[in-house]
Amino acid sequence: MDKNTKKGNSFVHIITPFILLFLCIGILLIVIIKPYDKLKVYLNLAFMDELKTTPEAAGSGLVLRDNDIIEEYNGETFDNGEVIRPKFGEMYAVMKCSAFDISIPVYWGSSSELFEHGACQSSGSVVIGETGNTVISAHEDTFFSELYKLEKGDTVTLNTTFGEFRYEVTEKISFNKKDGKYVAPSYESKLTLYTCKRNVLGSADERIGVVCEPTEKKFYKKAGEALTN
Amino acid sequence: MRKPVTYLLSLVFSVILVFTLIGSSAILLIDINATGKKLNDLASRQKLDQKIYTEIEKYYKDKYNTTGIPADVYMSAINNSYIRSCEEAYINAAFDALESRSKINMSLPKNKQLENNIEVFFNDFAEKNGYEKDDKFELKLRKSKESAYASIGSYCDVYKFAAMDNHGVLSKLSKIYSYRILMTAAVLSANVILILLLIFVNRKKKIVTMYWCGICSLIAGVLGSCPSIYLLTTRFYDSFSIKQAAVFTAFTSMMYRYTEAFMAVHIALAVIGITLIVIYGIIHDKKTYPGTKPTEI
Repeated sequence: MDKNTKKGNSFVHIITPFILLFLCIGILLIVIIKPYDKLKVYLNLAFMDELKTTPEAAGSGLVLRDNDIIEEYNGETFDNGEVIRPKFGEMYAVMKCSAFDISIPVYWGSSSELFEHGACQSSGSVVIGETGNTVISAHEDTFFSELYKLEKGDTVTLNTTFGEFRYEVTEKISFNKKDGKYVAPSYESKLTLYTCKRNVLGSADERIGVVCEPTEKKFYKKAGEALTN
Repeated sequence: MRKPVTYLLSLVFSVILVFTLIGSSAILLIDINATGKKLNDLASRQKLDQKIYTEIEKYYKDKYNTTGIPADVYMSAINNSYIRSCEEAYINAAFDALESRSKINMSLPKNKQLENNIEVFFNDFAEKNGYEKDDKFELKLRKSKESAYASIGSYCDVYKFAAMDNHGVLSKLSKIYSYRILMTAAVLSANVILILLLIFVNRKKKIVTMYWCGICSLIAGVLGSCPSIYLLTTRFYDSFSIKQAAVFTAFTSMMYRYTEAFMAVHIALAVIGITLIVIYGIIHDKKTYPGTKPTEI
């Protein structure tokens, strides 16, 4: 009897470290997924400027241009003004919203290289501040990793070189990448943000995002006034 | 370990203890290694100034085609010690911002020679081409000086603190960094509390606590050291696509250093764990069979 108890005790002593190890690995894997995604975004944001100064980037034909975006403008602002049409590869806006705890640079045009640097605005859509559909997208594993967090009523702010524009989320959307319904031009002013639906098994055809309505426009210059950079 | 309740409670506390041990070692490492002084030392050991000098030189040579300003105007005013002082200015300003939870507030060290070189070049150019030295001239001159400082500074910011600050990453980090001492105290206290709880749960046979602490320390050591060994042996950080040589060296050497320190601490934890388990084994056997002597052969 004593022998059996001792055997059982020894078995428990041996098996316990393994039970503990598997429990900890399981918990660690579950806990680490989110911080790892965030770390990836932060590293991307910190080191994304590198490509701009390298000969490889120049060789690809992409000319990236960064602008100093005014995020706290103290001067007089106007409800109506003139927008500055950016060039391809130009960072002309910075996006902030309650779902993201980082500010995201917005580039005009879209290419795989530009997507490495920030969110991209389709050049077929209208410039922020103009009447029509402004369509901005980004990778789901970097800049729009938390887009799914946006809910109806949330505020999205876009600071551009020529003004500050606020939008309110009115609709959460989900569509197939072949469906152009949400990215098509429109007569009313709106902002459409979208990204790929997270798919662990591979590339996704589904897109998720939000549609926002403008709530506030603050142009730094009146319409017709000379705009200087 | 005969009662299932005692066993399960010990297991639960042990799981938590494993994570608090990993957490405390990580926070202690941040406390010790993530300081302006350590990063300055690291940058100085890696001799980044020479790499930065080469990059700035290449930048101004490439820019000559568009600005018409020869690289020598800038490069003759920059030396390794100036670059080093700019690197330090960025690191110190970043850690000040992290401490004070504010934005980076810094200006690069003044370089009279650089300003003088630009002024001489502009004046010579104006005289040769009969250009009037009006307000526009002065504005252009001022902007060129500012741009020179900005360009040189961007190359000297090897840890990309300015980019992190601009995108709001630094402010996020500052929330963790400014509370690091409080967090260290919290995780260390948590360790003590968990050990006391293990003693309480196993109060009828206190020696078992040594076994639980031993396996916790061993598992924490394994969980921390295995990924670190993998990262170091595969030279994982070398695969990062950071294209500025100085930034790449600075970032990867910092990551390797932190990983090495993390690995060393966890190997130590694993050794402590094994030692505790062995001691437990010896004491436990003696208690189970008191007075037993080894069989004489």
